[in-house]
Amino acid sequence: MADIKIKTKLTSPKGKPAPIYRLASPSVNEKAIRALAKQLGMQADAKYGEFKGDADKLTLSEGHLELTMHRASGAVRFIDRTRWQVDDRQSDFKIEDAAASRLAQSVTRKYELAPAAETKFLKAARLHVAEATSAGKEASDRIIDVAVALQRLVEKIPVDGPGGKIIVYLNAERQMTGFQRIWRTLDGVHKRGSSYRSPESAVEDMAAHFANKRAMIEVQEIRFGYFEEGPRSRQRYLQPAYVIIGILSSPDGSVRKRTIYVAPALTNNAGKITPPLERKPSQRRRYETQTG
Amino acid sequence: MSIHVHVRVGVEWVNDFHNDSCEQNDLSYCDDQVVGFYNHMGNHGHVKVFNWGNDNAWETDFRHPDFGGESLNWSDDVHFCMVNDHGGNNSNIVTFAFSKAHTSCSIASTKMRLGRKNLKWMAALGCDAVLNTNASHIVAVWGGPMQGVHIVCGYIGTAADSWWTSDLGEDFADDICDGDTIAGAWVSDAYSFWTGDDSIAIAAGVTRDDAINRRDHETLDWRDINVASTNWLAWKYRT
Repeated sequence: MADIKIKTKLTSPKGKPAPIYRLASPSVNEKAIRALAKQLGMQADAKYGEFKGDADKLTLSEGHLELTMHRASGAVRFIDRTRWQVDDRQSDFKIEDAAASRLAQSVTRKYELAPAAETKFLKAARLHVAEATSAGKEASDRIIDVAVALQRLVEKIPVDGPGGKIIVYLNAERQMTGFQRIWRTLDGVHKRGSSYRSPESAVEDMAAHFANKRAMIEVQEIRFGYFEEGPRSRQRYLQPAYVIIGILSSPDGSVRKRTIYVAPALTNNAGKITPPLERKPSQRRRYETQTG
Repeated sequence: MSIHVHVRVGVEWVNDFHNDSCEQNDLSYCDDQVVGFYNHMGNHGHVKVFNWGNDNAWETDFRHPDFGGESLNWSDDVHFCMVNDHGGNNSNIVTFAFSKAHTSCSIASTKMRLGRKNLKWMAALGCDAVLNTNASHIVAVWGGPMQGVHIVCGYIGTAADSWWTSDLGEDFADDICDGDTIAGAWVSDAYSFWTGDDSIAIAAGVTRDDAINRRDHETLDWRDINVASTNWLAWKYRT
């Protein structure tokens, strides 16, 4: 059974409990993609572009521009292939977070990706390119793009998780090279929140989740927010949650891995967020004589 | 853009350890990531060669015969190998942990000779492929083991074992099979604003331009464009 040690202060959320929202089923089809393409300034008429689809996503390609929608979530990825991660082998894009955030916000406004009042700056992550000889000589390191994540706010509460974000990619010319939006449409209040569970009870959920695992988990951080899933998931409700970040370390600290558990924060929640661990079939025993 | 060659793929992963000399904390989602990669590569027409999990994953599959291992029959007998378990990095030596001592509980990068036979691309999804982004550290860790392999993908510092990143292997396979560059797709797919995973891809080259070209442009179609000697490394990372 997992042994859980808490290395952070546990704080319950303040204020009136937030409601649980229903999420609208995404409309992912050629018409929806063309409408978004028009919004982005692409040639959106039926005679332009080429569609490619599979079970997970649908993509419209028009020259060097590529617009993808995920069927399960409606999440969008836009890439300008002539600029995406392209290095001119000279630029070194040094930009403060605040300036990068302003640029990302202006892109979001220009293309109407999300209302400004419903986003806040989360983080700027820089893409570096670097080289050195195998002896470590002639080393160089430059920044060629900055990805700015704008976090969604619902009821002024941050939306945590792999979703609930717009990520704008900017190159050294301060132009957008692409963006990703994981932002499911709200479809009204499903139910009012009655009261919050304690973060301690969320940690108990985590212990139960890992009951059949032998592990020592140090909880380093517990965040509170709405929880939105990633592009490949169907999600029916947006509900308040505790996001528990832990670390698994060997006794000597030489090997490590982080672990994440997400628990509903309301007493009248919409059900578990982290799916139960599946019991998976064992592989047949491998013998020495087997070859690849 | 489509891919015109077939690549051989092998994956290894460990979720469950034992209360013995190889003991580590159990993990939960290592299989999801790498088997997702394996299956999606197969869905795109590539050749699924081996998928070894838990006690079937052996350190000897990564240890070069110069050190008594079997790497040339396993990790280095495929073009793309992905491994996911506990990782560590001390004194510029990466280790992968295994649940069964076959014959050791871990493999150190000093006993790897990646690419001596067929291996072109390696993704190590455990923690600490590198600890930081200092050139001296990256070169010290990977300059020795990269002996013909084109690109190594991994994480800077710790990585998350999480249900919420279990799709990574599928996304990465789909992207590179659609013609995306290997380093670019890895750095983009494996970086996570949410979990805090910082991604890195390291390319080898005979010359500086060769290494940069591979980092910036290499796709699966570069399978047979060999790296004759690793004189330069060029890497990209997001942090």
